[in-house]
Amino acid sequence: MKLIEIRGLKTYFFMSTGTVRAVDGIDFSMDDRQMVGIVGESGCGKSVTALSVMQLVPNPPGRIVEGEIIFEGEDLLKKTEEEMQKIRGGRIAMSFQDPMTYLNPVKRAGEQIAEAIILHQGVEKKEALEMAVESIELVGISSPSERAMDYPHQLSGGMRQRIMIAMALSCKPHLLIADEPTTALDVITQDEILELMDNLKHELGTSIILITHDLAIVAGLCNRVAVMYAGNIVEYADTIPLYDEPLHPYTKGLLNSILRLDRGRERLESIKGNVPNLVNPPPGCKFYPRCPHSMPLCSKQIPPLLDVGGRRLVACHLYGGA
Amino acid sequence: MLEDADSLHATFMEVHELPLLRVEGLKKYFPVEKGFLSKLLSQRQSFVHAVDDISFEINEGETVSLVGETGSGKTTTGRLVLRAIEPTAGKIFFEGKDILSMGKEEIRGLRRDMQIIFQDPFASLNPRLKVGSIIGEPLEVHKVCMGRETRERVEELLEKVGLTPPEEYIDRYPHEFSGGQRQRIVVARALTLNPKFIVADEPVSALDVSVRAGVLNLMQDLKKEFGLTYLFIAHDLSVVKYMSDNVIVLYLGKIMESAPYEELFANPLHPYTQALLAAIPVPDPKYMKKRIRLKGEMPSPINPPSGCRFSNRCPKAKPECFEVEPEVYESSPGHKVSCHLFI
Repeated sequence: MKLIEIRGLKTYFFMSTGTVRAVDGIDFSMDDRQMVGIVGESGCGKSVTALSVMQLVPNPPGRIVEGEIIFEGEDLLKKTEEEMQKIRGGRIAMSFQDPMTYLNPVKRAGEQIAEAIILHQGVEKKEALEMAVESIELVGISSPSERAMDYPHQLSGGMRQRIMIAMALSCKPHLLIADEPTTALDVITQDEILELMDNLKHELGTSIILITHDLAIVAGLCNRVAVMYAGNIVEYADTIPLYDEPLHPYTKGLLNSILRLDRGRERLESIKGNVPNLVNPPPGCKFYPRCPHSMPLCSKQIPPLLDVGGRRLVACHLYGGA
Repeated sequence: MLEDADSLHATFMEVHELPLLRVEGLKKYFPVEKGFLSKLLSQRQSFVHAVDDISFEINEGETVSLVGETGSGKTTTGRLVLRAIEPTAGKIFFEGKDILSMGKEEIRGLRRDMQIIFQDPFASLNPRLKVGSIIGEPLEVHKVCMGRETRERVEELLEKVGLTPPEEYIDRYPHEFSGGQRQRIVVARALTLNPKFIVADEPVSALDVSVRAGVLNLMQDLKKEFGLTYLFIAHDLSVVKYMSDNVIVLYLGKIMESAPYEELFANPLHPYTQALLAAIPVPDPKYMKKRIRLKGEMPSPINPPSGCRFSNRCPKAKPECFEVEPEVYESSPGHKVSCHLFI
């Protein structure tokens, strides 16, 4: 059984200017004890996908229009809000990009973590605080009992991100969704957080979905990588073949635009044009106006996400086989 | 023989042009605001040692990068060089003139030659102004041109930064643009007055990886076309490698290492530079990463460590590192490192 399977998920935002199709028919699944990366530019729908799984899409204006999210055999979209509250922060936890927005500024770090533990595990406050200190230690913070007494503003950016991950891990989730955990951080701190993620996967066996815009980050960490563009997954493959031989022209473009220390200073390639407007996306393949390989068919028909063998899925007419 | 060499050197110095920008012993200490009670209890005022005695030069047409983590003093240095804030000590020469002794009028003239590109294009554009006014404003402030002429200049600039056709963009508001496009508008605004020197403060770190390449390529093209000189501020060495001629690595307000870019990337000497390089993710799943573990966190710039600033995090620290501040050692021409390992 898959740990999580998303089928035909559509999450739309109903705005005065029109309907934004942020997530427009996503199929995605992952196995237990894996780490999967979801990569794409801002506005591609990667965070909305995560919020849909958590059912935290701001409503109004957002709403999950159709689809199924099967987690450990149960459809999350059929759960009541009360049932979801038990799952959220329990079996599925999420950490966010900007810890300063998500941490409560007037509560000590340890207390905030204990709050979640009391809610989900029904233990006494004293015990919960001890467990909070344990999870702070787990994310690699030295002198955890002292840091538990700190308020968020007393901590550095990397430390706050660790506290948020500690909070997410405090109830031993089966799935951790980490939304851009390193985007706001310096390179050295970023490296430390990524190392922490790697340790969590290996030592605790936590399954992790890592959401990022940077293909370089997921390369050394994830088993599989899904590339999203304008509300759809365009390619989903094991990490090594994806980097060795990217199939979708968008994946190729993303890889070519990365600045690499291991290469010389040849001129960078960039993807031409801009991300489409999701109120009125182009017909057919949403990438065709920017694609160097577009054919007449691309502007007419939406390419389905097809299995091209070798555990690879690609949504592109170049590999349609038709 | 010796005299010959000396006189040769002297003539060389005369012929050789002055650097466009020269910074000597620059310091900026920010006073720490204290509460009422601590003011009553203690007399001592404490300071954030943001920039602590740094010197460097930038030649015309060069790009010099300042690299370091948050709190290293790189942004403060950029602002000092533009005289947006006043230094605590030190000298800044632009085209040989001491900009710290300039009066208001002279500074106003200087502003035309020195411009800045900010990090966050969502915060640095006025949301109530149309693109045309944002880019055209400097022209009218400096009374270069008015009305239709301004509009023509703005259209020309929009074309230069790749927002074509310009008529389609000039009457729009910033919120109608993506992050990459906004940063292009910021670049166009910096170019409006034909500056010689631009401080680019993390110009791509708020952008998606996919659009970074486009903005960096643009900055390189404009540099060639207009003979610009950049002070490029960044925390990511992969961006720095792509952009710079010379690199200066800062840590807690001090220069740790500086070198021409080829030399720095081929032969990084300072343990901090090595750690910065090792931390950069490589987009290759088969690459075996060698992690350099630094101890603890960056100390507070209010109470910087004695001796070498990096000593308490350095994996190679020796006893003297904690007591004596290292001198500058020049390992090869232009490659300078401040570290006890080399003295």
